[in-house]
Amino acid sequence: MSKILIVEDDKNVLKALVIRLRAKGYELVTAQDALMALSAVRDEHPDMVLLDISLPGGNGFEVGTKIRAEATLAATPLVFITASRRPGLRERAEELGAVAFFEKPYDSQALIDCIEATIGAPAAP
Amino acid sequence: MDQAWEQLRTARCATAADRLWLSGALLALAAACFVGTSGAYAATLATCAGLAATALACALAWRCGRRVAAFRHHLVRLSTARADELDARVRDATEDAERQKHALEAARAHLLTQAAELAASNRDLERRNREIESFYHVVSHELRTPLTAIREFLAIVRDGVVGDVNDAQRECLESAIESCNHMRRCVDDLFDVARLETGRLTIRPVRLAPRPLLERAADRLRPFAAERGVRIELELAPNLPDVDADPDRFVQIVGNLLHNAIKFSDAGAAIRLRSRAQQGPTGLDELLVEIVDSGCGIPSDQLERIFDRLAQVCEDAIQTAGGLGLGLPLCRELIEQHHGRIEIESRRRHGTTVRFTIPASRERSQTVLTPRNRPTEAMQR
Repeated sequence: MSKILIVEDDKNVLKALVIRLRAKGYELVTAQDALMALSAVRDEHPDMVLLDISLPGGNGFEVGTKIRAEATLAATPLVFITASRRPGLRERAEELGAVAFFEKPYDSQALIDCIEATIGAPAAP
Repeated sequence: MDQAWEQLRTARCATAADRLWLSGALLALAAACFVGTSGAYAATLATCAGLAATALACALAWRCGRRVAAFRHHLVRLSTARADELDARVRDATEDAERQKHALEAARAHLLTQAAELAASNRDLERRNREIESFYHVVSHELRTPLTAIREFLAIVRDGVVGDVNDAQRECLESAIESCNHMRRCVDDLFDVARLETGRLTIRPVRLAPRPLLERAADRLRPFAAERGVRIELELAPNLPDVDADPDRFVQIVGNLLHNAIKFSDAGAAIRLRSRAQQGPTGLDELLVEIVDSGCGIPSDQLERIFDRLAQVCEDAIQTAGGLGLGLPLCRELIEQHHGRIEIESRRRHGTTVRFTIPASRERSQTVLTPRNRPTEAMQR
């Protein structure tokens, strides 16, 4: 139980997340738009998905909705991350049964704690 | 009056003439009968008298007739003149009415044009508001993304994830991260100010117990306080009343005020976050929250303008700890949206107390808080 899919369109934010989580020992898959995200979920069956909300070709909520609609994927824990402060985003995330909702710049320790609490610490190598 | 008397006399003359004529005729007839009964002399006398009377009557009648004719002519002239006068008045009144009608129609057309212009102007303003809000939203979103990356990479290096760092390096990185945090707050405040400007700073109040939120705000600020060597102490009364408040905004307000208190305090100091119930000026219950620090205080000349949005941005005097930013104007707006009040007491080198109140939830009715839309200074400038 230690594969995480990171969906983030900004390559630097994505890189920072990869460095952090790889250092913690998690196996990582990445996607940078909505379409790639969906095929990655279907192909890789990650234990958890970190979803940026604003994505090319769709948004994180649409991806989340499609994940919830497929029986084999529906139970995957979702964490939404966003740079936006528009009202209502947190509520939409809750409606999709998200485990957590982070606003950028996020507290990386809090994010790691959330991941560990959801899928546990990564398996020993 | 004279005219009337004249008319009466003329009428009487006519009547008198008629009577005289009649009398004369009767006398002549009587005379004729007398002739038949009492002899020629008397008869001749009577006949002459009758004839004379008749002649007199005729003369009088002729004169009266003339007067009657004159009178009738005069009456006709009068009524014609009157009719003409009435006609003229009616014409004048009709013309007046026509003019008024045209004036009213012109005024109505003008008002309709004005109303249409105002409606168009309103639509423009509303569209502009949306554009401003959208602009600020996009800009703040775009600023947060690279800020996230910068902050994260600094933290990654600081935490030794990509190699060891010495103390000096770590300190540099900490300072850089602190600046990122400061910038993040500015960007957040910027977005909030945009919504203030466009009247879209809304709150979503729910009935809530303030204690957990006060504790959450304190917890959120403890790391920053620890960095400054400052303690946050809570003094929360046991019976805090529920309030109708937006939970995120409530935490934001308290967090903001705590942040300022920490910034202006020296190492080793304590900041007290106090809260209790009290009665407001109208006698209704309210929640009182106080943030008390013993820091450097705020000069009184700056206190006056401390809630003034523009003063914060332009003032370069309050810069010892990086400025108060837009936090206080925002706090005041948010508190007022909650139908509360905020005030500050401060003395140089003694410290500052910021206190705000929010009305307690009422048992019987739901207090519905609505966002306030008002012309802002920016729009009036």
